[in-house]
Amino acid sequence: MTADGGAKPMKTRIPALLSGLALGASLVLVPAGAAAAASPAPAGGPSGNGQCAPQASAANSGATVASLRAFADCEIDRRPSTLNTLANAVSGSKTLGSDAGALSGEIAAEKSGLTTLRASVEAETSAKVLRADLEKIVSDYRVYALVVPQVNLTIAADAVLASQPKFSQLGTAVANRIAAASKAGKNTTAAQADLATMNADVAAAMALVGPLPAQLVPLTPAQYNAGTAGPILSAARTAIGRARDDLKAAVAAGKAALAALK
Amino acid sequence: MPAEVELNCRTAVASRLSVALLLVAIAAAGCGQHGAGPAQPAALSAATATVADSAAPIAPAPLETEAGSPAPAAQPTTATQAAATGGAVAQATPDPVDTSISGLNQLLNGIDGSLSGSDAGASGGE
Repeated sequence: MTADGGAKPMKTRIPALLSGLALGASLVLVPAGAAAAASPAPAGGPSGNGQCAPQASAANSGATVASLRAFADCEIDRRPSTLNTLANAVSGSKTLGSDAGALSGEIAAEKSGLTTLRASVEAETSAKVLRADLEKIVSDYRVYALVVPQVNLTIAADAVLASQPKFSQLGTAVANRIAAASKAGKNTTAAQADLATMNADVAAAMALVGPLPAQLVPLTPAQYNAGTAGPILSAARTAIGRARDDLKAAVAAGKAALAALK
Repeated sequence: MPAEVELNCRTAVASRLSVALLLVAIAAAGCGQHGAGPAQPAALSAATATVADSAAPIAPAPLETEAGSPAPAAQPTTATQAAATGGAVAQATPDPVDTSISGLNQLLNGIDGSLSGSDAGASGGE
């Protein structure tokens, strides 16, 4: 996964990169941050909020080989922890279908690439090359800007889709109870309306999310750098949020149907 | 009458008397049992109670497990106990619809978690 780092001149690019990485160092991926707070840094290196701020500051004030390498090491080392969290989320998901394999492969490739990059950083003696390596940490992998939302949104999308048979089962059960109540002479008008609402909400959620996994899984850092992945991630986030709201409304409608029969 | 013949005659008489006495005794015993009719159930009840008492400790002894702790002993089951147990089972069996809704709520919580994770990554400074 290589990507074009952009066409800006190096002199303007490096301060921007350092600033970006310093901001990146303040990132807290919620599960990883929680883990870091509860236990010492993992063997793979620091991963939590602000872990690389001192190295960023040192590299900004004097871009020596040592300071650049220290900054690069820190930024590389916090990423495997994030990637491990993502890998655990993928392997622990009960609703990811065939997307699990693709996501796991992508995560593994990112870890492998970062390991190779770290070895390169350790061996490098040129500040100029180290600056380029620093840029690669971001542009070639996009762990936080791309992979984190990509994996989480795919998991969420597949979970929405996996809810359909469960809602279908619930709908059948509610319909059976409505039929029994009607047979017993009960007025089931409200329950029938609630059931129809539930089914409509579920259908709306499925329509929103159905196409998303196929759009999310193939995204690459190169697409992110080219500006095409960001809008897909953003649209997917919005659609899944709306679908989640639809499903919550569907559950409420199902409950209302059952309550109307009592 | 010769002495030998007289002895045989006495023996025969004694034997017949013995048989007669035996028959009378048997008959008397039979009459006695019939006459003691009302007492018989009591005697039988007592005997049954005795058997029941002696049967009570027959409950299986606890079996030792490999860990050395005794396994639960088999408890006598009464109709009341059975009814109570049946009631508990009936109460513990969840409504399938409630189970279905609970499963959906869990799934929705998972979706919320994934969306939060996605939002956290989007502010990574990359």
